[in-house]
This record gives sequence, structure tokens and C-alpha cells, in this order.
Amino acid sequence: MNSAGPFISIHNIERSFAEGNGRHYVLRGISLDVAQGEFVTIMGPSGAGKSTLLALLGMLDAEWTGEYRLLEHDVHKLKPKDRVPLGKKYVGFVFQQYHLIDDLTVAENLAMPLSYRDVKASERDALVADTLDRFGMVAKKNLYPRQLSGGQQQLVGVARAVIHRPALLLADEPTGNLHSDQGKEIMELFRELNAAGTTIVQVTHSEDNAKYGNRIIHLRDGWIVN
Amino acid sequence: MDTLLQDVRYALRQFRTHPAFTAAAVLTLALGIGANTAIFSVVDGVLLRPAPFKEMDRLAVVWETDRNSGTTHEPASVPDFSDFQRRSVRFERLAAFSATEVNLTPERGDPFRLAAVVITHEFLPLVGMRPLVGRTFTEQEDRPNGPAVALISEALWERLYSRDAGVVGRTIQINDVPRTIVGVLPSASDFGILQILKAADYERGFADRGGPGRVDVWAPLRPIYASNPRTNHPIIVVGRLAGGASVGQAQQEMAGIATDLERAYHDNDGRGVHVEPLAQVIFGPVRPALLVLLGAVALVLLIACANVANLLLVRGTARTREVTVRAALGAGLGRLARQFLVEGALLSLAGTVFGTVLATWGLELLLALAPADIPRVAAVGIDARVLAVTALVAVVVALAFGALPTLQARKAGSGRGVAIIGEHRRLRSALVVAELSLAVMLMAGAGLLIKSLWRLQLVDPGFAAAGVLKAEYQLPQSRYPRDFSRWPVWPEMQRFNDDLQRRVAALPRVEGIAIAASHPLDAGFTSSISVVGREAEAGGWPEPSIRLTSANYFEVLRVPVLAGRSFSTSDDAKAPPVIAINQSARQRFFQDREPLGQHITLWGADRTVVAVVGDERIFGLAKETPPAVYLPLAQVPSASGSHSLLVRVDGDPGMFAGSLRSVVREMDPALPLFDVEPLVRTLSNSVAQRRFTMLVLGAFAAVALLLAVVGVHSVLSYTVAQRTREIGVRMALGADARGVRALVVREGVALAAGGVALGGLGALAISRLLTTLLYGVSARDPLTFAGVALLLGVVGIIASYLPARRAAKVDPMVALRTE
Repeated sequence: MNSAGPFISIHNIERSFAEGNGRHYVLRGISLDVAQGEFVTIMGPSGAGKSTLLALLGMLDAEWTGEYRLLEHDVHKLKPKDRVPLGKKYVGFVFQQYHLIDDLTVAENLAMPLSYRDVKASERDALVADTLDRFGMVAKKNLYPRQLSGGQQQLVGVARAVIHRPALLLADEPTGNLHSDQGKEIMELFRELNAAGTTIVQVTHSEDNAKYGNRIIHLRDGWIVN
Repeated sequence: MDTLLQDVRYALRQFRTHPAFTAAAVLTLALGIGANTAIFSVVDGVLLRPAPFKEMDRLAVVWETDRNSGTTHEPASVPDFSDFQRRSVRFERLAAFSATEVNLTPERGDPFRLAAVVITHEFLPLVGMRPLVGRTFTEQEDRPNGPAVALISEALWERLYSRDAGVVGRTIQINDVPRTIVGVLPSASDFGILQILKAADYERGFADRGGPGRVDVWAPLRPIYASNPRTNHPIIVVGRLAGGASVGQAQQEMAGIATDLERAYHDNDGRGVHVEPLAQVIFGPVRPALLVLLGAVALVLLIACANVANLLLVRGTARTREVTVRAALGAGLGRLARQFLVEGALLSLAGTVFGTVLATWGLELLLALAPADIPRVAAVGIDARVLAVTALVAVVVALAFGALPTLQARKAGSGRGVAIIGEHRRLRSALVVAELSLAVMLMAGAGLLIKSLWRLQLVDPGFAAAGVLKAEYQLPQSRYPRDFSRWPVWPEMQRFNDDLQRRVAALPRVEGIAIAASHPLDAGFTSSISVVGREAEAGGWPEPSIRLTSANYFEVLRVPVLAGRSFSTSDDAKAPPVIAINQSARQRFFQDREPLGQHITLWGADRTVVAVVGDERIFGLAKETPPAVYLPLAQVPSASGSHSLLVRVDGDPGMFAGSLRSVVREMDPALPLFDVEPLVRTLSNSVAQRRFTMLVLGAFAAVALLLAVVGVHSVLSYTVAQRTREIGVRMALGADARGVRALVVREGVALAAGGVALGGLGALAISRLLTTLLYGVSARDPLTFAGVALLLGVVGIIASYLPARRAAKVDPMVALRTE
């Protein structure tokens, strides 16, 4: 990894949708640098463009204009389909509603991102076992998501997001559906991951959760208002 | 009433606002109900309706059997019939008939050819047919040299006399002989005649040609015992069982009489009797095919219903909120059920209306394709009775479709929402697997029939039909006398045939011409033979088929001469009698002996074997060739005056028909030329019933497959819609488009695999039903089953492709959106 420049550097990013005869802008002139190992929090009211910015950083969205540099890669110069491997390599996602697959066990949910990265079965099993151990979920590996509490489900969600050791963890309201004790547990986990070197960008409405990060970016109507 | 109208209004509005659902459901039902109505109308018209004959279950055909040849369906000899009539007590009455064809010369216009039946005077009272006008034949008219009388059909009455009731007493010119019309018979009077003739394998005439089965003229049989020895078997005996007598008892009695006759007469060596219920003779050959088709079409309806049920389940899931709100506002289950019943009934009604329209068109097509030898096929139609059955089907369908969403609503009300969605997915998948398995059964059946027909097409008929035009004529006794005291010298007939060959040969594009008493697919007749010096062996020999041909028959038909020489023009009445035998006859009668130069005794003359020729499939492609002998027409003229002209032309033989007719018209303007068609068509007609069953079953299989494809597609589309968020999450976690497509296609293939497995087992279980319809292929043919499995797999992939593509286009950002 190149530690000379910022980990993420975006410049003058715009994202809009067709609406009637005109366009509706969700992000406007967004410029932002995130250093490696930073823990950045994005805050703002509903509809401010937080999740859109997160999707864009995670290569889930390709319909934007502007410049986006991830380490040495000029993302904006890549064709949309060439951006997908970058996302697979560097990014892990944590969702507000956990989004575990109902029909898969905890262990199978954890193995899923690895299978999408063509990790060999033996290596996959080892990584799943290691992650279950690390997150204290060995006893729950054969349970289905519906057999877990919300906090436990989100724990699996986080474990699933980091199992392939991404350099960047993107979290969209990770504690939004949890009560405060469970939320705190997840945020502590984030702090540990960050301390271990993972760059984190989280979207949250919670001032308490925001305090876990190094920096807060406020968005309003698609603009950065810091 | 008011609320019911409200339900109807609401249902109609629902259909209007969901046109895709409505169109899909109505069209699917229309296909299912339409196909069922069309096939049921055929089955009803042919099999289920009461027969026009009085107490049909007491009627039976009395066949003669021949232990030597193994035949079990042979017509009787006139003296045997007389003995049966005299001695039987188990039969209340016995009658006989024989079919023929006649030339009718109308008062105005060209002569034409008609199917005719000669009957003993007991025949019509025996079957219970009464004339529309006039009377039936009297005993006096049924005697040799009795008055020349005739009965005509209702159709001929209409055509020639515009249903004039004064037709009785008028004369009609039949085979140049004026006959007095004594009555008109209703159109159902010829019921079963064609099928009885078909059952008697060697009967010549309209039955063998698969032409229209309608009989237009009836004449008295007038059995002349002197000229009909026990070796001739020209008449079919029909009997009415005496009260309380069973077919088994009649069989026993007739077998006893036959044994007595065998003892008394050398000509009856090996002869027995086979009493067969008339209904079995008439319906036996078509019943399996029609029942298979009825079963197949019921499967199509089941598939259609499964599809509509699937559509309703989708709609039901989408309406969960509506149902919940209605329930919350006080609608009880009964009220909801009524709403759904109204919707089901309206869908079913629309499907039935469109289905009946489809059935009318489909039936027209079906009847155009149907072979003529299906009994009373001409009378098949969609009438009140058929419509009543269709309406019954529609009511059942409506009730089922009303019940389904009601059950759904009851469960939705139980607060098991999430579990129900899972249950629905399983139910929908189960329905699709059921659809696919039914489609597999139909496709396996159709596949086996296609393979049978293909196998039949590969059978070498033993002659080259392509490029040959066939035309038939019968020289009437009046102008071409057949004086048996001068036999075989019948100069008028010989002159006509020679002249005809010469004139046709002179026409442009003619490569060869031959005349035969029976064309290569006309089984003709049989007679007993013996080989000089081996007379004792001949008692156990089957009668070979007798083929009378002109000199160059083998060349024109390209029948290979395997040994010896063809007939030549010098093989005439003055030359030593000669005979040719086919390969089967060589194997049966000569085995290791050299046949050439041997003498065969037939009809009082010793004939030298001059050739061994290849086997022609005279019983049609599906049947083995029997032993046959060939005689030159110049030495053995056609006793009936019937001939087939066979012309090999350069180019399309169909185009040559006009020239041929002109030649015959110039030679004898009163002689009708009939069944003028390329020989390839005659060959094709010989497999018409098999082709018909195959085409109809194939069409059903295609419809079933189409419906099943729609089913797979709809289930997967629904699944994709339900799993949009999950797919988005998978993509956010790294799944690429290919992986997502594979996920959906895998599900489609799994459904197809389930369908193949279940349907394969079902097809194996019912394969026995198809056995009688197959040729050269086992009912459990592994290649056909493998082909169907492969096709279903491919279809599963194709049906999955669109939903898979839609899934791959899911925006992974859905994973980030909150509900």
C-alpha cells in the first residue's frame, strides 16, 4: 500500500438522478481526503446524500462525475466493470439492517464474501473458523440469522464485512437497529478494527457513535457543510 | 345481490388494472379448456355416443380363421354363411355383406365412383336401420336373378334428387345397369362398415384407400352358391345374439359348426370361427389412441390450472395488504371467499368463452388431419352435450381458483405472514415441478410417437413410390364382358388395357407405365397354391397374396428382380403360364430349394416360376410382407375388372393427372378414373392414423412445454422480485453479475430436474398405454427419455434466463436503502 498520499481522495464529485425534465442532485461538488487508518464519520439529516456517498466510495455506484482516487488507482478513469474488482479487494460493508441471508447459517454467511473472491475451500474454512473464534461466535456457527438477536446478527454482519481483511470498512448506520448496549459493543469492535489498521467510514445519526471517529463530515442537501 | 354485483364490479376493475395478469390467466385457461373441448368432442362423437344400431352390445362379427396362415379376421365363404344361418341358435339372426365400388352414371354430367355395399336382406333389420323413405330389400330381391333394385344414401338423395320424396321407383344407372330405387337410408346406416373392412386385412376397396368412408349405394347380395365355392371368402357375417346368449356361448357354438364343416369339406381344412363383438371391431383400433389423447389433453388442462394457480398465488401475495385491510375493516372469511370466488368464476368464464372459440378452430384443424377410418368422425362437432362438459370443467376450475386465495387469506389472517411467503414459494415451486413433470410425460409420449413415425418412414416399402402417379378404374361388365367360359381370354378388357398403356406411354415425360389389379399398397386377395410334386405339404401353407400385373410392373415400380426374369409382353394367354414369387414366398415355400423352373398350381394351371422379386409392403409400412405371387395380367385378367394404372413420369406426378384423365375420357367417356394421386401420397396415407395421433399429441406436448416455460419463468421472476434485497446484498459483498445469473439459473435447472425426475417416472408408469401405438421403438426407449430430459434442461435454462438477467441488473444500492 502506498502511504505517501491519502487513502481516499475525491474531488468535485456530483451525483444526480433524472427527475421530470430536469435532474435531482444528491451529491454536489464533494471533495474529501481520507488518510489511511482514519475513522471518519459522515452525519446529516435524511436525504442529505450520506448513503449515496458511501455507495460511491464502495464502488456500488458508477453513475457519478468527478475524480476519485483510491490509493494509486484513478477510479474515475476506470470503466464501471473494472471498478468492481477494486471494491472486492479493498472494501467491506456493514449494513443497518444486517442483511444476513436468511437461508444460510452463520458460518455460511461468513463464507459468502470469500466464495465471491474465489478463495479456495480449505482456506475459506480456515478463515471462517478464525473469524468465528475472533468474534466469539463459534457456538453459533450453525444457527440461522432468525435464531440470533439483533446485536448478534450485526456482529455476524461486521464479521462478514471484515473476513476478507479489507483495508476500508464502510458502515451504514451500523447500530441503527440495535439498543444502546448492543450498539456500544459494535462501536467498540470498530474501534479495535481501526486500531488494527482498518480505515473506517461510517454513516450515523448518533452523536455518541460519531465520537468513536477521528473526524466528522456534515452533509446537507448533497453539500459538505463543515 | 347488491353486494354480489359490487364484487363483480370490483373483480372487473381488478382485471382492468392488472391487464397482464388477466390476459395471462385467461389465455392459459383458454388453451387448456379449448384443447379439452376439442378432444372431448372427438372422443364423445366417436366413442361415447350411443351407436345408431339397435342394442349394439348384442351385435357381433363372425370371422373365419385359418390355422395355416394364422389369420383371425377373414370373411366367410357363401356356403359357410348358409350353414351358419341354418344351424346357429345362439344367434337370433345372421346377415352378410360385402363392400365394393361402383360407377354411377347420372342423368346429366360425368360418371363418378361410389362406395357401395351389397347386403343380404336380413342385414338392415338386424342392425335396426329403417329407411327415411321407401323400404329395405325383400327376400325375393335377394335371390339370384331377382329384380335390379338399390337403396341410396341420404347424401346421394340430397345430391342427385334434392331430397325429393318421389325418388322411390326411379331408376339409377349403376355399372351401366339400371336399378330401381326402393328407399333412402339415413346417413348413419354405414356406421362401422369401413372399420369392419379394415379389420378384414385383405378386403379390397374403399376401406384400403383411406378414402371417405361413406357408403352411397346398397344392393342385394344375392349369394350364388354355385359360383362361390368354400375356398372363396367374399362376405362378412354379422349376427345378433339371441336373448340371453353371450359372445362366449356363440363362439362355442360357431366353433362346433366350423369343426363339423372342416370334417365334411376338404376346402375347409384349418378353418375355424372367431366371434368378435361389433363394438370391439369398430372402436378397438381407435380407442387406445383416443384415450391417450384424452388423457394427454387432461394433463394440458392440469398444467394450465397449475399455471393460473401460480399466477393467483403471486397476485395473492401482492394483495396481502389489501386482504389485511379488508379483514381489519370487518370482512369475514366468507365475505372474502365470495369475492375470490367471483374473481375465479369471471376468469373461468372468460377462459371458457375464448377456449370454446379456440376449440372450434382447433376441431376444424383436427378433423382436417383426422384419418377417414376413425368411426363416424364426420359427425363430430361441438354441441350442447360437449359444451355442458366444458361448463362443468369451468365450474370446477372456478371453485378451485376461488378457494386458493381464500386459503391464502385465512393464513394471512393468522399472523404467520413471513412463514406464508416461504410456504408460497415452496407451493409455487411444487406447482411448477408438477407442471414440468406433466409436460415431460406428454413430451415422452410425443417423442416416442415421433420416433415411431420416423422409424416407419425409414422402412423400405420395397418399391420406389417417388415419381409415380397412381390412378384406378374398374372396367364394367356391360362393356368389358367377363365371360368365365372363355377365361382367361377377355379381349375387350385386354384391348382397353393395351390401348391405354400405348396411349399413355406416348405422352411427353412418361418414363414407364404398368397396370396391376392392385396397386402396391392394396393388399388385394389371397388364394391357396401348391407346388407340383409337393402337393401334400401345401395343406399347411398360408394362402399367398395374388398380384396381377402387366409386363413391366417390376421396372416401373423398381421392385428388384432377385433371380430370373421380369414378365414380358410375350407372357400372354397363348404362352405357357408363368408366375413370379416374392422373397417371403421363397422363404416360406421353398426354403433351401431353387424356386426357378418349379411349377406352382394355381386356379387349375401349372405355372412356371420365372422370377423371385423383392418384398413389397402390401399391408402398409408397419406390417411384414406376406408371401405373394405375381401373375401376368395377360394370362390372368382381373376378375372384378378393377385396375390400377401406375405411370412413372419425369417431374411432379401430380401435374400429370389432367393428361391421364384426358386419355381415359377419349377412350371411354363413361369410365370414371378415381383415386388419382401420386403414389407417395398413397404411401403417406397408409400411416395417416399414426401421424394424426403423433401430431395431436405433439401439439399438446408443445402447449404443455410452453405453459411449463411460462410457469418456470413466472416462479423465478417472482423469486427474483422477492429476493431483490438479498441479491443486492450479495452484490455489495462481491457477487458479480455472472454469479447472480448462475444463482437464478441454478434454481430453474433444479425445478427442471425435479420435473424430469417425477415426469420420467410418470412416463415410465404410463408407457404401457402407448405400446399399441408404437412401431420399432420400445415404450421405454432410453434415447427418447434422455432427449426429453435434455430438452427440459435447456428449456429450464432458457426460461430462467430473463429473470436471471433481471437479477444481475439489481442495483446493489438497494442494500443501503432502509425500508
